[in-house]
Amino acid sequence: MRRLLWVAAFFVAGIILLLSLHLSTTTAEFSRYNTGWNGTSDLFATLEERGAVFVTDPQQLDGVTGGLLLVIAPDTKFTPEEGERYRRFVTSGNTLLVADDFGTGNTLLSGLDTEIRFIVRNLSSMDRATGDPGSVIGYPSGNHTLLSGVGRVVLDRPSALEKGDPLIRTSMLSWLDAGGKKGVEFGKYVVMSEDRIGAGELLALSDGSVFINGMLRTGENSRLIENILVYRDTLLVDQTHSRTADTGGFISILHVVRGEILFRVIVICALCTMIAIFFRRGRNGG
Amino acid sequence: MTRWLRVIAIGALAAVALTMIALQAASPQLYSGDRDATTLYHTNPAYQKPADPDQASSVVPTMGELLDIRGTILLDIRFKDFDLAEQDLREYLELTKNMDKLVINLDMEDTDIANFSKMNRQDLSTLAELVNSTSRFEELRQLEVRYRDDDNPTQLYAVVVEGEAIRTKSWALLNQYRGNQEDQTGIGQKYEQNTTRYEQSVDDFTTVVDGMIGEQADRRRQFGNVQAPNETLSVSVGPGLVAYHDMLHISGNLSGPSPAGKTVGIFVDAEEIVTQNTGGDGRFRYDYQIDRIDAGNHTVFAALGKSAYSPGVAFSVKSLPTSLSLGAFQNGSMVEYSGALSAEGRPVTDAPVELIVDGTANQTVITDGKGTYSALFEPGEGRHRFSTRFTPAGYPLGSSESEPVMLTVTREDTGISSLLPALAVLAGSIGTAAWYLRRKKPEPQDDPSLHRQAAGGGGRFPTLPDPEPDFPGDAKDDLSGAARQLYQTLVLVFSWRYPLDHPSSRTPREFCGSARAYPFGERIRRFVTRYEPVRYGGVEEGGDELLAAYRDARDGIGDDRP
Repeated sequence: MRRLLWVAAFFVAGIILLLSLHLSTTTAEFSRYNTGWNGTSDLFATLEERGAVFVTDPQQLDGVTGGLLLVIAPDTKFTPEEGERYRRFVTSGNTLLVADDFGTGNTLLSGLDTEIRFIVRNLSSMDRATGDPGSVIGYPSGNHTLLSGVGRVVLDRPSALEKGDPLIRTSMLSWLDAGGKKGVEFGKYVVMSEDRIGAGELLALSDGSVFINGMLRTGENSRLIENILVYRDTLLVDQTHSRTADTGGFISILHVVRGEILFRVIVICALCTMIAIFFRRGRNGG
Repeated sequence: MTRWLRVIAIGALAAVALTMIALQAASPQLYSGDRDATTLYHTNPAYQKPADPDQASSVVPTMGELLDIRGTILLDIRFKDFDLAEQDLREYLELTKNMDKLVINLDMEDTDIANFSKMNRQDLSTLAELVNSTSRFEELRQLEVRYRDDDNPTQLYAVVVEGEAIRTKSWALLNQYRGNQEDQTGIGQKYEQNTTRYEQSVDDFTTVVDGMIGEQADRRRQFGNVQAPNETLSVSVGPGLVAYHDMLHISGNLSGPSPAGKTVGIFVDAEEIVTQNTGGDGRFRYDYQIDRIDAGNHTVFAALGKSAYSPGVAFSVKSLPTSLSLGAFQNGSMVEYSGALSAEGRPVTDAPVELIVDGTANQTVITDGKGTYSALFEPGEGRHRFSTRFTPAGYPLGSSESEPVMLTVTREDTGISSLLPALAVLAGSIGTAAWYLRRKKPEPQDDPSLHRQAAGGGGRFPTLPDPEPDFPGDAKDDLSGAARQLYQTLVLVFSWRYPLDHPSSRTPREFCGSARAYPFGERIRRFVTRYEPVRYGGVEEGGDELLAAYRDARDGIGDDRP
């Protein structure tokens, strides 16, 4: 009977392990906990390996030098106070890279001394990687270090940028959607540009999808990402406004447990108590 | 032990199930990826068909080539190298086709590139007409010299009239070509193409037409005013635009002191097609059926001997598409093929139609007055692809080709040998059917119930052979077989008196079970106890005991007739 209990306990533990593994993932777009094609788990695994700093409070930016802050797919607006803090971060010699195609990034850009703006319209192209006109191919048009070894970048439903110094542009056979394809105007559109702000640098990329799992190894995207990761000495990743920090339901509880030392202690104590009770009953029961 | 085995088996199954779940546990998706390959934010490239990289990348270079080749063609025309111009036109046509395909394949309608493509097609047509016009203008120059040497004022006048028509047409072509210049240059420059050669082509076009205008003015001054002092000839045509088999109504008027009964020649493109006598009022008329004449612009004028010429008037012939039908069947060792050629419902008469067999043109037939054709052809044995083709050289018609007809031509053979395969198949079929029916015939059944039914009436039960006299006395004989006979007899006797389904398929134990409820059940059990070792256990002794048990059991069942 006791052996049977052990076998049952083994299987229950296995089921709990699998369940927690399953529930620790999510399908949230851009989420770092999303291991699917539309998540950023692969990127964040690399970021964790390289000791990137995850910025959960803009105050963490104060005093940073020689750093690159990645703001991927922001989905909440930046307040003027936050904008001022990011501006100080850039002007003090750091690099800020904001990747967005929904326009939320414009609230960040408006707080910086730059004219670069995201054009909140879908960019499509005949020069594309797949049958989807949104799989736009971008070509480097500058000599920036970030573009070293990058021949072309495949974007996924990007928007376009205005102003700034172009770094990556589409071919001439591209257009901005205007409620249908009737009468489209072909032209070259900028999808990555830079602007010098004080002693620092602002980089804008009009597609956050470049960082998702499904796009990381498409075309020469991995080379561009690698160049970004090694561009500055310190790598910081925004987790205050970015969709990459999105969680949901049970996963958020799990990550709180994983992240807070107090919670960890409580959970470990609870588990130890349960094991002790189990052994005690087993001994009494013979 | 059995319990533990069950536990281990269940545990193993559970472990396998958990392993399979574990493989998917890290993924939150429990369905196929293509179901969510597109979201509001992005599209999964893994589930998208890769685009052809060559198509999009060839659009702009093709555009550049299209702009350049026009300059080349205009240079050919300027240097009067019309053969080379024709060759370059063919290349231009291929490039244009490629561009049109790209526009369609890349779904670029309603774009400036589609607009460029459309203007390009117009320019292709314009340059093709310019090549024809300048080439013909060059021929007129040679004719003028010849007619001047022959002192043939009528033909010289024809040269003037046709030259005038070509000049007018070329001027219109130039204006058409210029009309696209601004837009095409703009689009070309937008796509970073060098438009210098294209712009130069417009200048060259202007130079060519200016040259024709100057030369034609000289020609008109020298030969264009050949009119008798007292007679004036005029001509008119209608309608201005005609098509294949339309009637062009040509009418004219001769005025002068005595216009009646004069013979007037009517010329189409400098060729006299008919002469007509003027009426009492000097009028004349002729209905000219459009048949073998190229599509495009043509001129008509009238001449009264060498004394008076009418001014030339122009008319246009439009090209009609044609359709060609084909039917073919074997007729003896030949193939008879036939069909009809028509242009928008109008029969195309006296026109050549080529027969194409397996991709090779073989013979040409001429359509009759109804536009139909038929002929015989001997293609040889085998399967062939037949089609017919109309090439409209000299007709204001488009080319056409019939739908192909596939035909297997066999050797004609009326002898008995041709029936042999059919007879062989028939004989084979009959033989197979007979064998099958014979095989299907039901075999006599061993089931005693069938014996009962078969017997019927007073003889309801067949006579059973008594197994006892044949029962072996010692083990050297077939004790097992004999025991089997005893068993079968016993089962049969039982089944006559008591209900027993499928007695012949009952095992001894089942038989024993069925008889258990009866008073003689124990006797049957005893028989079976002795029967099984002999029948199945290889025991070669105990025959007497078995026989005794059989008798005892049979006595227990009772008489073998109920």
